[in-house]
Amino acid sequence: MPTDAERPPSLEEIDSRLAAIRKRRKVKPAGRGAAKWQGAELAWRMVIDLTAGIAVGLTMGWGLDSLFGTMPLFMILFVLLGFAAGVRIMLRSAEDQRRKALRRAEAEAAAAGGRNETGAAAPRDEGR
Amino acid sequence: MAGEAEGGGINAHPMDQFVVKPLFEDALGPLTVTNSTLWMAIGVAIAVGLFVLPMRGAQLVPTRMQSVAELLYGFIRKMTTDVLGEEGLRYFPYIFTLFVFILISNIAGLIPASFTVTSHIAVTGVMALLVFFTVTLIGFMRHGAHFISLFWVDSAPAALRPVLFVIELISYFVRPLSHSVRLAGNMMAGHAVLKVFAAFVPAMGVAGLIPIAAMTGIFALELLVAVVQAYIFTILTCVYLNDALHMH
Repeated sequence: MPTDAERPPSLEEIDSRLAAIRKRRKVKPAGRGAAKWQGAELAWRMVIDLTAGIAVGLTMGWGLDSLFGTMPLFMILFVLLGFAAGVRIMLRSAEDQRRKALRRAEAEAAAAGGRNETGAAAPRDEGR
Repeated sequence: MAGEAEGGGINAHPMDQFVVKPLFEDALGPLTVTNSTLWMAIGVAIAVGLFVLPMRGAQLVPTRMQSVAELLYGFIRKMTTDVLGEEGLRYFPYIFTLFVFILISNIAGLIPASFTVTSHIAVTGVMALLVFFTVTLIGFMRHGAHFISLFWVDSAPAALRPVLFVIELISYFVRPLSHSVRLAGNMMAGHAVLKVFAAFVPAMGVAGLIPIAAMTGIFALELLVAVVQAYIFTILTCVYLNDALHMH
């Protein structure tokens, strides 16, 4: 008769050990530190785009003015248009970021949903 | 000692490190060999040493240097296909060259007493303009005059469309500027901050250990910035190329 120590491990024991290993190895979600840096990078990009828009508008207006000899007219107009262009780029990058976050959230939800479904299937059938 | 008393302790010259100096002659001409030239050549030499030499005797099971080269190659290749799709691989050599040059220049610039090539807008500007002209050319070659419709917003009311056309055109021209300013600005700002902190050290005596500790942290951050900025420059190149290839 085998003693407790020699007895091969039961399926439950293997199961629980496997579960513990899986839990330990599960990929942890990225820390908040990374997200914080990404936000800073995005803000930095937006500021540069905004100022670059004004600068490009100013230069274009200046060029047109010295071409036609209408000194302040096109400069004023194109500074405003350049500002609008900067805002537009900013809004576009914000929209990109939002779409990316949405896609990531959807992928996470799909992964989580898939995992829950296998566990929840049995109880759902029981009620019927 | 006397000089220290005169200067009031702190004499920071954070921008001195960015001066372009001729190496052999006295005056700067169009073809003068400068410290910038030297560090660009060193960057190219490092790139050759990192990629060409280990791959000469390439093996199925990579050696250490070979796996470094393969890792970088695979990383950028995956990024290119992620953004541009399979057909974008035609432009992969160009994208990868940009990435390697910027990455190596950024990191080589962190070596004390070296020169950061990418901190100059003259250098990043040329790279950004090359990307800009390449993208525009590819756009016109692929789509012909239809490429202009990238700036024509169909969803807007008819009266607004000409105004939006000008705005879109300006935002297209903003690209090379922000593309180059971002890289040069990031590299210059970090290096200048390091120099300012370094100037605090002799002024503070024993307490100078505090700025040294801060500099260690900033240096680690700068290493991160150097890699991240190379990556951002490259991925933006891919995004711009994507506009020209697929147009919305």
